[in-house]
Amino acid sequence: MGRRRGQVILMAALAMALLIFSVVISIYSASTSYQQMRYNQATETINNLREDFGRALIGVLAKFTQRYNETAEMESPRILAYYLFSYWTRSASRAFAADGVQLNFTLSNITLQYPGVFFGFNLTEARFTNNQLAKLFWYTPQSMSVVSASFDANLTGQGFYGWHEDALFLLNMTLDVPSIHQESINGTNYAVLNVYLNREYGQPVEDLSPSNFNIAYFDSVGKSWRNAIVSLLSNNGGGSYTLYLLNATGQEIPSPYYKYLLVWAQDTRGIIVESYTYTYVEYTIQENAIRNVLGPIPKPDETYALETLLNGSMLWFNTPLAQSGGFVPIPMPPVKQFRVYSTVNGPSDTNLVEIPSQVEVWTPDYLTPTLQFADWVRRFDVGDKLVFLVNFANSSINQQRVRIYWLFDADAPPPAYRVSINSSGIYVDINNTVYTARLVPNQGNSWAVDWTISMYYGSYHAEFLINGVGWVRMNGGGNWIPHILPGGDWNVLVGPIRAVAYRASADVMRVEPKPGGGANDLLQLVDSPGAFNHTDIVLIPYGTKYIQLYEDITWRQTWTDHRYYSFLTMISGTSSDQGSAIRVTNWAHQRTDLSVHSGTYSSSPGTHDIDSNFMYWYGQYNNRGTLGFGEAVLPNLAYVNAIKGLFPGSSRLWIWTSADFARRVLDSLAYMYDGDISHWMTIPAGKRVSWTAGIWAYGGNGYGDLDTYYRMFVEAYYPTIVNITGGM
Amino acid sequence: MKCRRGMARLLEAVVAAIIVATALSVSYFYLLPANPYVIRGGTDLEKYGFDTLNTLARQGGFDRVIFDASGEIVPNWDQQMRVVLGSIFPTGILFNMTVYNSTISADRFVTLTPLPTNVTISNADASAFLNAGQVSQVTFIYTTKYINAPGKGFYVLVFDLQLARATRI
Repeated sequence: MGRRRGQVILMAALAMALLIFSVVISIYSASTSYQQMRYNQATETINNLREDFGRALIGVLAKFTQRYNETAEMESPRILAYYLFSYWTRSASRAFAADGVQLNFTLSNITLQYPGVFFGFNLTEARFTNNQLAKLFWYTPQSMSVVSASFDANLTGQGFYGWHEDALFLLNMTLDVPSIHQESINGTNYAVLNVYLNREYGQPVEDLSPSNFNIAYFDSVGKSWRNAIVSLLSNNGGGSYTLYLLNATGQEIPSPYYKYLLVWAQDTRGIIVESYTYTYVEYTIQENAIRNVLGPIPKPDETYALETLLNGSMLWFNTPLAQSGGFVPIPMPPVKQFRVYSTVNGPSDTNLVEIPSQVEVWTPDYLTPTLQFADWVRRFDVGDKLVFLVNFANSSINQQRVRIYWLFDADAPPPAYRVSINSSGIYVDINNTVYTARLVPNQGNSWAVDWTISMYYGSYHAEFLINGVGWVRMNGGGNWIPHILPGGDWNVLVGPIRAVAYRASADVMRVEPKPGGGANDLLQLVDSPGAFNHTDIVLIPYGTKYIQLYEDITWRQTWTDHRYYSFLTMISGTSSDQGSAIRVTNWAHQRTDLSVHSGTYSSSPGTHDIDSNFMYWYGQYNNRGTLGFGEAVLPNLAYVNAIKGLFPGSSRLWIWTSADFARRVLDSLAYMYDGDISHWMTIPAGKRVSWTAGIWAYGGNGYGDLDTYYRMFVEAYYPTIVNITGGM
Repeated sequence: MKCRRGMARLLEAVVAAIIVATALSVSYFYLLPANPYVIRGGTDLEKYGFDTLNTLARQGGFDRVIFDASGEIVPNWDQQMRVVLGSIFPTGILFNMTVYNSTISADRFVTLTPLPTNVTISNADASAFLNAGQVSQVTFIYTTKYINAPGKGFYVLVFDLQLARATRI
C-alpha cells in the first residue's frame, strides 16, 4: 500500500513539473512574439533617424565649408551650422512626435589625427574636434573638414529605449608635396601634383573630376594668385589623383612657382577642403643701421615695422628691402590665420617666438591705406600688407630669422589689439603703449590749431606741422606763420599692432588777417580744392618709439607767397607750461658731415641758429633724469634731397623761440623765412614734393638716442633680406 | 482514512494545475492574432515602405524628383513622384504619399507644411484604402542634399506614406 502511494506522488509531481514548464514556455514565447512585432517598427524608425542624421551632418559640413570659404571668418559659418543642426533636430522630433521620440544630442572631443609625417609634412600636434560640431584644419599639405555629433534616442510610443549613435563625417586631402615636379608631355611642360582624398573611416573618394578641384599658382608677372588649368586628371584609384597643371593662359607654370600651390577640392557631397603645399615662409633679415656702424652696442629700440606683400617682397617705409634671388609668395588664407615668429638671438637661434603682427588693407599699388585698413574678415590679397615688428635688441647680432606661418586650425582668432584709441573732445588719441599720438580728425575743428600731429611722451609733448607754406602780415603788424597748410578730415583706423591716420585731399587751410579786425584777428579759411593735393599718412606701430610719416604733395596751381616753406616743423611749449621745468631746454641736429650741432633755447623770442648744413635728424629735449623728455624728426635722404632741391640754396634749419608763449621751434625749411613783406617765392604748378620721415620720442637727457637710431630711417641703412625659403 | 485524504489532496492539486495550464493556454491562444497573416502582412508593408523610401533617399531620388539644380522645387514634382512610386510598387499595392516641408521659425518652432501639389501622389482614391485588407503608415524623414545656392542650406522633408493591399486575402 505504501509503495503504491509513493508511485502516485511521483507521477503527480512529474505531471505538475511538466505543466509548470509548459506554462513558462507559453508565457516566454508570448512575450517574445510581442516584442518582435514592436521591434521591427522601432528598427525602421531608428534606421531612418540615423541615416538622415548623417545626411543632415553632411549638409551642415558642406554649407559650413562653403560659407567659410566665402567669408574667411568662422562666426557666421558656425552660427549657420548650428542653425541647420537645430533645424534638423527639431524637425526630427516633430516628424516622429507620434512615436514619442526623445532625442538628445551631444558633441564630444574626438581625436582625429595623431602627430605624424604625411608625405613630408610633419604634423606636430594632434587634431581634435574640440567639442565642436564642425572643425576645419586647412592650409597645410594635409587638411580636413570634419563634422561630428552623437545622439541618444528613445521611442517611448514603441517601447524602445536607449539607442546611441555616434556620427563622424569628413573630407581629408593630402598633397604629396615631395612628388611635385614638371613633366613634359607632347612638348607641353606640366606641373604635376599627386593628391589623396578620403572620407570618414578611410573610404577613398573616387568620384572626382577636374571640376572638383581649384588650384591657384602665383603669377609672378601679375603679382597675384591665379587659377591654374587642370589639363589632365588621372584617377589612380584608392582616392589618389594626379593633376597636370598649366597656368591661366595654358602655358607652363614657371619654376619655382609650380611648387607653391593652393589646392581646393570639393567632393560630390559639397564639402570643401583647402590645402597648401607649404606651411611657412622664412626670411633672414639683416639690420644695417647700428651694429655694422657702431659695433656691438645694445639697441633695444631697433624695431622695424616691416610689411610683407603677396609676392613675398618686404617693405620698410614703402621701400622694398634689397635681396638677391627670388621671392616665395605669401598664400591667401584668411588673414586671421597669419602668425609671425622671430628669433631673439640671431639666425642660429633655434627658438622662435611670436612677434606682433597684423594685416593691413592698402590700395592695390600699396601706396595709400584704405578704409578697410584693419579688416580681418578677408583673405590675404593684392594691396594687403602683413606687418610685423622685428627687433634686433641683442648687441651681438645683426640678423634675425623671421618665419611667417599660417595656422591650420580655422578657428584661429585674429591677433589681439595692442594699440588703443580714444576720443577726447575734438581730439583723437592713439596710444601705442610708448607714446600717444594726437590729432584733430575733423577739418572744422582743425581751424583752431596750427599743427598737424602731436606726440605725447611721458608728461610732455611736441607738435608737428606738415607742409606749412608762406606767411601773412597781421593787422597789428606781426607775422603769422604759416599762410597755408594741408586740410581735410583724417581717417583714423586702428589695427591690432599698428594704427593709421591718413587723408588724401585737395583741401587746404588758409589764414588771412581779418578785415577791420583787431591786431591779432585772423580769418581761417578752407580752400577746396586748394593750391595743392596732399596725401598725409601717419602710422603708429605698437611698442615702438617712432611714428612713420609719409607725405606726398602735388601743387595744383602756381603759388606765390612770402618766403617760408616748411616740410616738417617741430614746436613745443604752450601757454600753460610757459616758464615751467617740464619744457624742453635743448635743441640738437645733425649736420652734413654727420657731426652734431646743439644748443639751448631761451625764454625770450628770437633765433638761436640758422643752419644750411642740416642732415638726418633734428630734435628737442631736456635733461631731467628720469623725468626727461625728448622728441625728434628723423628724415631720410629723399627728404633731405627734396627739401634742399625745392629752392636750391634757400633751405635752412631754423631754430627759434616764438613771440607767443615763447614756443620752442625747429623749422625744417625748403625756403628760409626772412620776414620781409616785399620778398616772394613761387612754387610752380605740377611740382611734387614727396618724402618720408620718422618722429621719435625718448627720455631726453641728451641726443644719444637720436644719433644711434636715426640710420633706421635712412635708405642706405634700411634692412636687407639675406635669405628666403618656403617650407613645410 | 488518513491516507485517502492525502491522496485526494494530491489529485485536487493535479486537477487544479491542469485547469490553470488550460486557462493559460487558452488565453495565450487569444493573445495571438486571429489571422497571423494580417499582422505579418502589415509589418511587411511597413518594411516595404521604409525600404522603398530609404532606397530613394540613398540614391538621391528625392533630390532629383523634387528639386532643380538651384534648389527650387520643380513645378511638376508631384506628377514625377507619382510616376516613380507607381513604377516601384507592384500592382495590388496602393500608395498615397504626402510630403511636408519642415520649416523653423525665429523662435525655433517647427512647422510641417505640405509641399504644394497639383495632383495627389496616389494610385487609388481614399475609399480604396478604407476597403483594403491591410493598411500601413510610414513616416520618413529626409534631409536634402546641400543646396549650392547663396543663402540656402538644405530642406528637411517629412514623408507620410500610406500603403495598402488592394484586396483582402
